[in-house]
Amino acid sequence: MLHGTDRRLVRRLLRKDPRAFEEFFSANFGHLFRFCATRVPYPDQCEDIVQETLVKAVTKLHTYRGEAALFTWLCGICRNEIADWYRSPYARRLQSGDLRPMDADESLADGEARDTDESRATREVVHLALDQLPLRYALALEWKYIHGYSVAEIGVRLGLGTTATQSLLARARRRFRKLWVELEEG
Amino acid sequence: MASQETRGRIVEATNVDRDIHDLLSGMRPTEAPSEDARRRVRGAVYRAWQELPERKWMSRRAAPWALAASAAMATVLVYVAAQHILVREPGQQAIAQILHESGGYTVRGNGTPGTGIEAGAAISTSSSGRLMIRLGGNVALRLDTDSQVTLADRDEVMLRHGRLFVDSNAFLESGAGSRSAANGNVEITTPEGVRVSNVGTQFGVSIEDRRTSIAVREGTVRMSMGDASTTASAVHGIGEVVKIEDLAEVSRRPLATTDARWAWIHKAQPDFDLESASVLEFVHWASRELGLALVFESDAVRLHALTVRLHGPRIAAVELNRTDVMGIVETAPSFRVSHAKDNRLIVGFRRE
Repeated sequence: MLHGTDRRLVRRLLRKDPRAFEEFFSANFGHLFRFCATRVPYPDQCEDIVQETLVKAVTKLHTYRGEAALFTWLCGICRNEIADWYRSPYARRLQSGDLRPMDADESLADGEARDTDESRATREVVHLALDQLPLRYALALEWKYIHGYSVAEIGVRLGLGTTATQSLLARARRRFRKLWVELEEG
Repeated sequence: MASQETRGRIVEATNVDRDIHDLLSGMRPTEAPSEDARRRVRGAVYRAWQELPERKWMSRRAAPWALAASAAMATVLVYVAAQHILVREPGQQAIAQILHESGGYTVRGNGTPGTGIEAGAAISTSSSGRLMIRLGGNVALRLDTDSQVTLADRDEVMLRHGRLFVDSNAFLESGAGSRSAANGNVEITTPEGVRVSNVGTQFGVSIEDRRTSIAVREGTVRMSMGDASTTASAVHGIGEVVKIEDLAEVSRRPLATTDARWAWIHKAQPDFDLESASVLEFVHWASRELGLALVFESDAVRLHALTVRLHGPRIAAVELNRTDVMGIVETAPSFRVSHAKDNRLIVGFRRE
């Protein structure tokens, strides 16, 4: 299935239509930031990663074929950017506690939302499982269970009808559960 | 009425759903990005997008007469603009010279066409203007659109807003055949108090709101912020981008020396005139534009490259790619050019 609306938007972007840029940025920036923020707990780093993602995306717009929704395509780029970031020496120093950036999430250290070793380990396994899922499955699960979107809203984002979205969510849950068990046992 | 098997499937599905709900809903809730973040990211993405159509258009080869006409028009524009804008006070020495202009720009301060710009001049580019300025020695400064600098001296530039690029080894002086070309030190300062200095390198500095970004494409730069300082380097084709806000480093990421985000610098410089240029001059220019490390297989190759002349039209850097470079050099029968994975451009003698 080709995503005609997204392809048209990309064609307008390539024709340098200013309104197309506003549509593209407004529709994707916030969602992409949240996608990144569930994986990288430093808002400043997220800003940087999302900026890299969008800059890279606009330089590669001509390669977008509409085979996936535009946002899904952006998330694919963002996922690679996040992986690159985690490989960087800066991220390793942050992870090891050598560095504490100004924007570190203080909620992880306050009394009310103290992060236990157990919950941190659980989050890491969840991230690992999500990152091993096909992107559309991961997005659908995140939108439903983390961001609380309805099936219809998820369908719009993925360019699917309600039944197809429900079916995709069911497959995503099965794959996630299988991966979860494997990772817990492994 | 549902069969026992169907009811079992429903119970199982509900349990699976609840498990996953429990696991995922325990993930950190994410907040919306701040307006400042939104504005900064939008600015950077918008700039990249603005570059896009021009780059696609420029990927087609322009006719040589069109390139020549553009160059002539640019020269006339630079001269006319300089005649109208620059007012020189006698007795002062020029510290910089505008080598290339496209779009509009203004200079406030002292200078004259031909002899150039004097210390203290403030230079601004318009929303479509770009400049290449020679600061002295081999140092070239390129200014992107909507940028402003003050030239305190030939080795000290204050970037007030926008984006600039420094190449401290931009030009081959006549007779230069030695391995170490003359290098220039330049210090870029920002209103926030960030100081960026280099030794023999290529780097860019940009300001967006209160955030300064330093991107290193070659060599090493030192950044000083109040009492603190840090360095950033480019090694084996991978440079770094460091972002500084409130005099503190807030992020650091790798950036390939060949990344498309360097493309804007090609638009802020004159075309390269291939006619009668030496092989050495051409590969020096091309490797620096493409972000490749230039390697000669031996001193004999380098020396020969200095003496062999090439023929052809003017070349815009924005049109250049590695294959073109190889093809152009190999029109000289004695040379062979290859490209290594770590972004080295290797020039050697052709083997029979």
